[in-house]
Amino acid sequence: MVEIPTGPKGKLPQRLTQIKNKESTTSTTSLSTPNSRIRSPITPSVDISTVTNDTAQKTETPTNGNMASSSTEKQEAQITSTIQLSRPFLTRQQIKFARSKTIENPAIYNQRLLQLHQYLLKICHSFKFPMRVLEGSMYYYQRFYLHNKFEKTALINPLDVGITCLFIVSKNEDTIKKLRDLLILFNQTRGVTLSAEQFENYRKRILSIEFQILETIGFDFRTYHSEEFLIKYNKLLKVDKETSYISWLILCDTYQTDVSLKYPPHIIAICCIILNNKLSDSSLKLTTDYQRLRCEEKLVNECLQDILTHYVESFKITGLALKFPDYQIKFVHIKMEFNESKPQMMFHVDEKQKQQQHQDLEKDQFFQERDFTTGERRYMLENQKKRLYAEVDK
Amino acid sequence: MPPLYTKSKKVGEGTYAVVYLGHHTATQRPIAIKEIKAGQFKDGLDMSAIREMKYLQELRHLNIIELVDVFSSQEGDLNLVLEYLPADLEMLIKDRSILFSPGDIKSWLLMTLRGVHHCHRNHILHRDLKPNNLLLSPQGELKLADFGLARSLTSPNELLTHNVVTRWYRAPELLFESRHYTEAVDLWAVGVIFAELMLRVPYLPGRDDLDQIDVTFQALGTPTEENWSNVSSLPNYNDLKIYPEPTRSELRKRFIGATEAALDLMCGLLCLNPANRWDTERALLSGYFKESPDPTVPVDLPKLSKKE
Repeated sequence: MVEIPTGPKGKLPQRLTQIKNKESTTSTTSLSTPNSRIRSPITPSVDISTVTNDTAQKTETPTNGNMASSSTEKQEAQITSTIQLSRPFLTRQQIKFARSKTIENPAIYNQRLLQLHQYLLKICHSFKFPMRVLEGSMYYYQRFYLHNKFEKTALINPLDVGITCLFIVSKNEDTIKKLRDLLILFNQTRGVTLSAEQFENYRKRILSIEFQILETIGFDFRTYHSEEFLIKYNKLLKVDKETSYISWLILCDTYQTDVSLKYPPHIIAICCIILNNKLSDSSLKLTTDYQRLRCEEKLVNECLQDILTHYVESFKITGLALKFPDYQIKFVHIKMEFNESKPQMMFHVDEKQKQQQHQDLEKDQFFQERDFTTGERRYMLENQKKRLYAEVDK
Repeated sequence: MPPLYTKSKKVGEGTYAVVYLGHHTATQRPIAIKEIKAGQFKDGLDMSAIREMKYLQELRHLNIIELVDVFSSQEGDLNLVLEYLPADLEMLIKDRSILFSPGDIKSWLLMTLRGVHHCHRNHILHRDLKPNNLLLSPQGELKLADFGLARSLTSPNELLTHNVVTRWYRAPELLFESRHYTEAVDLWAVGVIFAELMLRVPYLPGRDDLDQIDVTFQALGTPTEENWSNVSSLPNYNDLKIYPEPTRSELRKRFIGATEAALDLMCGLLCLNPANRWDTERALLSGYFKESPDPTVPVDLPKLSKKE
């Protein structure tokens, strides 16, 4: 066992219970939320939570903001150390909660998201990036704004965050381009001209944003590619190439939404295939053997609902609308049919559970405002969780 | 609390990081810290650093270096905390005062193959295997290190870069600049390392990329359509001198003391055609590992004679 340097005596038990609490809330929520989702073998299961592993100062101080200054004043040789466990998938409630803290005006946020999607799509075309680069960029971008303020007053321009996400993903997906070239094209795309000096400053700013994004995603470089599953499932279900093309178009439209934050890639893929099947008039026999495809039905339905809502509410901006402008009404019908038949096959939370969940979220340090400037910030994947608890639980 | 890790001594400077020796404060376990200075590079965080984190965060195996921690310091530098491994296989091979017994060689090869097998069953290619990247713990355990060139296997229609693996350990398909390759590139490298362990000198030391082709095929024969169909359609397959494949007795003469099973394994790993090259499973199950002598127990393996 690792010996943990402890803070003032008597404070430790308090910290312990906090962490214990968190453990128990984790397990209770996982029964009723997609945390318990069945995953494909290549998608490792993931859990959660930030644990503060410093002296009791942190629990004593009322806000995180004060914590930094007080700890440096008190003891110079002491360092605040935090541990961040990676948590790549979140529930609807968790996302809503996180955004309530970072996003003041959801309408502006959504507008920016779609604008960014358009720009990045153009860049991906120009550089012949595979679509998974766009998928990853939108994923990182949306993760970023779960933990960083999105406001007019925020120092960072959301579009700059977006292009930096694309830059990181292009490295992670082995399709790297020079940052310079990427930024030149990005500025052309959005009609911005910069002098040589301005450009140099801009490049430096992007590099500082890069680090903040990397810290926000917790240096978790695992990738999730729905496209791979889409192709494999289509083959498995013997959908011909022409028909499966529409499911691919649907998949591309999901990059405009936040489904990739909530559902693992194989769930998203199967949803696109199901929708394609409902859209096409040919009554293709789809054996939705969810067990065999390792898709949990409740999760599939939740994801389907999200995608359908996107098509019904924002059909005009989707890629599918360009090819099939008359499909909007079809989606309305499918959604109506879905609302009638499916709700019992989804996750249900009553008022009491909802309140409990909200309380858990309030306590969960994962959703507290993050400080990327002080202390030692450690990052772990959940495969080190055992070690983490061994260290903290002393 | 005090800093989790102390940095005591700078031991090296890599392409993208400075490496320090240090200790885990609480346990005094020795560790190595790769410190990556923020904002030092034109293109931000180096791809090698990303790869190293991406793969080592998930791989856990006795014969793969352990990534202990990833943290950002107060100053905003990124630190990768790695297991401290004081020696590598290249140092041992070069240390003329040490004799390798057949059991020693078998032990190192076994540990290498186990590490590579673990990478491959997780669909990860190492792409830079060489004695210099096979590190040794004080207890004699061999561990694969430097995942800066590693990548996961992708869909077959994706192009890969052929410019990987240190020249002397580069498989023929890479020499021909093929844009599609598989785990077999790692096994070729293991084969060359195996030969090097027996010979105590680099087996295929090409002076440059062109010379590497010549050296490789002079030793192992030039691949032809007969033993490797469609090889002539690879980009760099031209102006080749045709060397015959070495006969068994020639190999026996070159590798004195190698048993028949050892030569079988080496030829399996150094098979020109990647499709017929042995995979880790076949190599691990080969007769070489079943026949006597047993692989030396790691703690009994030779250590560096002088302290560096």
